[in-house]
Amino acid sequence: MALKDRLITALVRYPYRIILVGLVLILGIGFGGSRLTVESGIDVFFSEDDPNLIADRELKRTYGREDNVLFVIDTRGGDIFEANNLSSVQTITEKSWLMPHARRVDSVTNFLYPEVDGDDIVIDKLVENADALTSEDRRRIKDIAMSQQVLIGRLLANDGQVAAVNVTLNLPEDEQAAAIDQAVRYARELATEVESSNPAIEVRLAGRALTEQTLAEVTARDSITLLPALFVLVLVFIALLLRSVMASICTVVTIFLSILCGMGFAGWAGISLNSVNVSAPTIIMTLAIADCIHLLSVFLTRLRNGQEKADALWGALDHTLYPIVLTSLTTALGFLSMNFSESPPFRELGTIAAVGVLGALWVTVTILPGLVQILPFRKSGGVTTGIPLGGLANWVIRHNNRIFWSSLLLIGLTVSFIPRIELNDDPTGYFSDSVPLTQAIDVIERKLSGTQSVYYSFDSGQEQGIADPRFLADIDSFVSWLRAQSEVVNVESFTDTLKRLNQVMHGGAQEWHKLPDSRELAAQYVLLYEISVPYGQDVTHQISADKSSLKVAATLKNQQSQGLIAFEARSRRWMQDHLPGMVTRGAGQSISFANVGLRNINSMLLGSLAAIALVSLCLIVAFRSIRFGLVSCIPNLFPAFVTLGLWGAVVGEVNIAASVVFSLTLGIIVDDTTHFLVKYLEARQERNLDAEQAIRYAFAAVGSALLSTSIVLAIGFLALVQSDFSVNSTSGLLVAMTIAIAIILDLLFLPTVLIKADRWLLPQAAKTTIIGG
Amino acid sequence: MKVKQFSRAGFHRSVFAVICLAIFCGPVFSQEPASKEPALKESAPEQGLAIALEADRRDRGFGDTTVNLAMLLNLSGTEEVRREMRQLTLEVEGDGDKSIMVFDRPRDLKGTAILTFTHKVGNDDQWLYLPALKRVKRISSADKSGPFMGSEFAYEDLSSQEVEKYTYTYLRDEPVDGEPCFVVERVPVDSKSGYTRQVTWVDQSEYRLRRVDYYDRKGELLKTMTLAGYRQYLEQYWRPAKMIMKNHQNEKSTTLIFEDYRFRTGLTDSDFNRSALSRIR
Repeated sequence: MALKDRLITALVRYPYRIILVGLVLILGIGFGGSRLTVESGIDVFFSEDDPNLIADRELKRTYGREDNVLFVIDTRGGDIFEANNLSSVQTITEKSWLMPHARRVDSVTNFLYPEVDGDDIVIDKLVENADALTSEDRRRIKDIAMSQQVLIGRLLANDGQVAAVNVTLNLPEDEQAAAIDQAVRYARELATEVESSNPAIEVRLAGRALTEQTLAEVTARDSITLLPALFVLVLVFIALLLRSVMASICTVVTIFLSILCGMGFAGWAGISLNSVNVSAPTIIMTLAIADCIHLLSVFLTRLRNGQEKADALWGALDHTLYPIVLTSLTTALGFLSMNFSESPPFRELGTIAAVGVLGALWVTVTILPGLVQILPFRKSGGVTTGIPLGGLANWVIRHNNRIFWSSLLLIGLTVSFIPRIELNDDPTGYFSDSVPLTQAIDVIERKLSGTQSVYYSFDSGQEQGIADPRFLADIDSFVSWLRAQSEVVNVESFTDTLKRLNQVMHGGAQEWHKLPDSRELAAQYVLLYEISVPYGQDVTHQISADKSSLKVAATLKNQQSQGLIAFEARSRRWMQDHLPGMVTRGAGQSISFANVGLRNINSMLLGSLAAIALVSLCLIVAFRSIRFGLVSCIPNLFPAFVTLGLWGAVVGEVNIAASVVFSLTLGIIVDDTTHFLVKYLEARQERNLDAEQAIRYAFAAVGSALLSTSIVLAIGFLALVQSDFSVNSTSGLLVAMTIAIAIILDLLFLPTVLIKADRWLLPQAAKTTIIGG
Repeated sequence: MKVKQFSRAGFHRSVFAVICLAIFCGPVFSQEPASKEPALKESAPEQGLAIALEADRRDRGFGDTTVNLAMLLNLSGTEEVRREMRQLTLEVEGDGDKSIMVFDRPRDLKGTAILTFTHKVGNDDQWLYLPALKRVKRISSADKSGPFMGSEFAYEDLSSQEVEKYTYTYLRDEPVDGEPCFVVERVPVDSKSGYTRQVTWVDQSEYRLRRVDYYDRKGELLKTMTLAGYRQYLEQYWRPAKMIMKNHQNEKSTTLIFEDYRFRTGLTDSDFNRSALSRIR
């Protein structure tokens, strides 16, 4: 008590000195911001020991990287083997060799097709010079191409209307973003060039490089347009609600310094910015705003009621300091709970946000009071501050029974929709429909192929072991099984090449289109093929250098995360039943993402529960009441559940964004609840008011500030819905919904709970004081 | 030989000229004279061709050779994989050499043999004998720049390098391991080649190939081959004991070790035909 008074007195009396001390600390931490680096790319979502990431890396090490640019050539109902169209495919194929970092190029035209010519074996491209072909040549080429299982559903649509050129990139370990940028730039120019020379076709671009590039582009766009928009929107609403320019200036300074503190810490801690943890400033902003509004709204009310500035400030600090400290500490703990996440960027986000929240607290208690003292606030008596809520309080008290039961029913109803939510984490689905990549993916899924790939690496366990006929036969049976699955549109396997070589070496006889029956023959065919193919069309992406393992690639269509995981599990079960000696995991980026999304949800759920437990524990200690701590769980937990339930009922599909919604909103939710409960308890215990009067008191004391903060933040986060990056737009919408639901629950449901549970909460209508109150 | 020795300053100037040229012409290297070096009496292409012809002249008359090759694949630094082969070469008057490559290890490939007739003009002829099939087939393929047996070598890199297969441009003088060399760029005549150009280092004392840089279709440096351990045979013919191929794009490398060179072993034309191929062990 005495400590608090002395602190407040010092704050009011020595504004300059305290500002100086506060600034030195903040700027010291903030200086770390100059050390911030940016990391891009999709790998940032995985921790170093993630089993899927390790499998993926192993795959890359053995067979090379799979980063690619995919040109999709759509004839829109025409025939890809028509002269002009075939030339366009060939042009793209040939010019793709010049794409920066291109390692291999695969298409219908450069497909290496071993053929018999008299006594000779010819291993050459399917299309040599598209412009010089007769219609008979083209028909022959079409017949061959349409019968190649390895092409159909990958590089050629089964109706011959759409074709693709796949360019595999060999990206450097460093400066990957720049390398991708170069490749994509080249690809875009080439696509435009080919499109303009052949108006009959549409060329679209997809592939991993495009996903990375689009991710970089939309996040860059968001950070230069949407985030500032959110910021401006929030400030405008603060100015409108507080009706004070000076108060808005104070808020801007507080926000800025708090963010500086959080990001400066990130810099000192060596954390790199990525597409997830860049939302830390936004989170910090919400809490800084909440702190400011609480302090300033009380200050302004008192000032406008005619108090002297210093007295008004003293009163405002006295009124709000304890709850602000309490909410900041609980919120920081909540954010630290994000360290339970599987995914490093979410852990970093939690840590940065926690530091930022504490920074906001520091700025609010050191710099903000001084700033208020220094800046000239107008003392216009006529203006009222905040939103009058007396009527609402009376209404809630009058209808508390009906409100309690109907709220409970609605909450139960919405929560029951949570199981309808389906997780879907696929980086190719992270963008809005207006992004070209989304349109390209749509064309691929509808007309050509699928966008998800699962890779199986089979290790024979010995050098040159892939030539073993039994090993090859096993793989062949797995390939046949894969091809029989409804979701699989294409399987790429070297066994097909071996069968064709065997056939060709036996004069092209159809009955020899089968795997070679001896180890020596298979090995010799591999050599024959290797010494006959050009650089960039070799077999290193399918066969390991020591010929001990072989990779089978399956392309899947229209799969959600869970479908993909189920498919991989099914394929493994099939192997266990039929090829017990060579069970291998399906790997690749699609699977990795599906898994990290799922595991992340689980770990975030755990983290969130831990956070709530911690926050409740803090509140139990602060309120010195186990029962109040437990009651605080209701408004703390339900908003996120209700939001997810509503989402499940209306939308259904959710990505990795959902798992952070709780963390993004935790601070503001806890803030709402705690401020309300502190004031309610103060009224019950210190002022000896009954439950109904205490609710009126709490409404009057903090209702307006809580509602203002919520409106400001909900509107601000709605701005993020405009993002083309669905992780941002989804989380923006979910956060706005959660904030709105939280304030509704706090103002409508919580009071009715307090009235209903009054006997249980405060059995002896205690006169004990709460700490610091 | 009229190749002029350059002063150090002259060397720097010609390097500068090459850099300027590279900047102006972009990735597609021009066949125009590479340098306006006033000290030169010959144009760069003439000079480059002269160096290639001299190297070819010095190697003329060896008759035939046999050599054993061991190919060491260094995979990720930990494991090493070894392959073994033999190469038989017959010098042919007026055309490219004939050669046979026989595989000994890995065991599955034992007895597999490739017969190549290199030609000064036009595509090479190539036959393959697969012992598992007991059949010889003529193989015709567009370009053979793909790596084989998991190595960084392409078959193309090991076959006979005829002067006529390239156009040349002399670039500059530059030492390799302290040994003064001519640096000559060669561009494949065949537009289908997997390489857009190669830069070769030929030592000035004996006209031995010391280093080759291979550039891919994008004009980017793909591989570097260094040749070492040269020994002279029959008091005229220099042969390397070691070739190291380093791939700059995937960071892997392969070492080729040559052992037991024999010259004039009595091989004749009849040892280099289809039926001989199937008899070879």
